[in-house]
Amino acid sequence: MKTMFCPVFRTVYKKKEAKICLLFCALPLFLIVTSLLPTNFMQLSGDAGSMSCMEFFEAVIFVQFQLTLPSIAFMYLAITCIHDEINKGNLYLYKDIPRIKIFLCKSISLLAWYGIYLMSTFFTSVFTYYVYVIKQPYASGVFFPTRLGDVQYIIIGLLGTISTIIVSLLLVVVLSTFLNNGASLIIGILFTLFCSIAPNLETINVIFPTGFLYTYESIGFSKAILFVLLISVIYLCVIGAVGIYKIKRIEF
Amino acid sequence: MSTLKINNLSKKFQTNDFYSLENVNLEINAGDIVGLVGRNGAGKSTLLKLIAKSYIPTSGTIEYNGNNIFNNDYILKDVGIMIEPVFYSYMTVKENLEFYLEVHGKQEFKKNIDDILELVDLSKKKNNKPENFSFGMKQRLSLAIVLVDEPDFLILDEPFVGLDPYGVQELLEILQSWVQERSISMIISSHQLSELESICNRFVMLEDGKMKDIQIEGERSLGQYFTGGKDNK
Ligand SMILES: Nc1ncnc2c1ncn2[C@@H]1O[C@H](COP(=O)(O)OP(=O)(O)OP(=O)(O)O)[C@@H](O)[C@H]1O
Ligand SMILES: [Mg+2]
Repeated sequence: MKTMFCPVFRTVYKKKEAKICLLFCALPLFLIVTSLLPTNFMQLSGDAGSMSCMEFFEAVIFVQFQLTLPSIAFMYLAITCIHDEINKGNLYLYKDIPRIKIFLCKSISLLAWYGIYLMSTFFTSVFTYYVYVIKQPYASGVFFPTRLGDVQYIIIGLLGTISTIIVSLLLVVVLSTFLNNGASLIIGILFTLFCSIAPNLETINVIFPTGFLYTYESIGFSKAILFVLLISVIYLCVIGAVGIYKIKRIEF
Repeated sequence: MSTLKINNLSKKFQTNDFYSLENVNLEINAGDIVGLVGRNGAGKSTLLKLIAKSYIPTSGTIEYNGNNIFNNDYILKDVGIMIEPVFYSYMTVKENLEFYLEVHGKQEFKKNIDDILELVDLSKKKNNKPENFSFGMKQRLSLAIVLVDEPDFLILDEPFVGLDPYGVQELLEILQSWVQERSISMIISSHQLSELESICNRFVMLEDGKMKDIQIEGERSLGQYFTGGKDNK
């Protein structure tokens, strides 16, 4: 597995689709650009002295998620790695390495690329915060928020968004082993959309990793974290089981 | 010693009501260079893809060196498979070969890369991406990938299709020089018997998914069969 990961990861990040994904890391930098223009686009506001660096980062991740374009870029990357390679016969290059191992390697590579994307977004966010945001009246100028409630909000928010993207990526990986590109992408996008409105839904919000953003205080923070993780793991298990069933039956 | 043994192999696709391959039996021994001939739709690719494990058989078994290939992983480790020209078009020629060796944990063959590229005449293109390669160049790159780890057994599906007569000759010469230098078994399909004559020492024919073993003396009549007698010498 270890020996296989590096070469497989290279086939993922060398795609131009992978580079497109990374473009969205530049999102916070737009804030600096738009501040120079007479527009209301991406204007942040808030109580005076309330926004710490981590809160800004969480807001950036949230905006990226609401935009759905970065998610679509990643799902498209997944499709090109899975469906397109099955179609073009690239799997012949792997001969009879166990199929599960091949797809696991590809999935981990995609997740690793998402990790790099998150880290890059973190750096551009921190840069933007200390170069631009800090001069604004709503910035607090500290790295971590001082109120415990704000820290908890950041953790629930980030965990929900990141789990959703991980689940949707693996969902698309599995779907694209047997569906065409359009169908896989549409199902992936629908799932992401549901997750992005989930915090505003009642009762069924609990079946989405993002659903606890406004209710975690009523059920308790640690319980909410546990639920988010549990729901994500359930999704991953179901997706994994379908994946194992389908991958064994791929003919190309 | 038998290298590849196919027993009562059948394949029916779910979408079809007929068998693409029916009760095929074939034994390929060490050193055999088998030409697999048959018309369009005869089942040549189906048979080769079954050997390559990209299709799952409806019934029957394939054994490689005594092991059922469908019950084990890594059985085809030393088999070269070229069903269609495949490589990563956004990686350079050299990166493609390195990828193939690394993914199979065969780094020790990296020293072969320069020689193989020389053999298939792609040395000068080593650092180019194959995106804009001509068809013949793509074919040769694909062959280089398959040969770089010195396989014991080669599966080639219509390697000459789409090549001009010069390209066919070039590819044949590559394969001949390869075969001469080592003991290797091979199965090559083609619908043009003439292309295979100079390299194969045995021929088998598929017709509507059924196997017909033919002796080398049968070549002539076989040629007649394929060309409708027009090109018969
Ligand atoms: N994936 C598939 N799904 C359904 N039917 C298939 C599939 N692949 C092949 N067939 C059918 O199986 C039969 C044999 O096809 P195959 O591709 O093996 O022929 P072939 O001898 O390779 O022909 P050609 O010389 O044109 O390449 C054909 O009737 C074809 O329609
Ligand atoms: Mg064919």
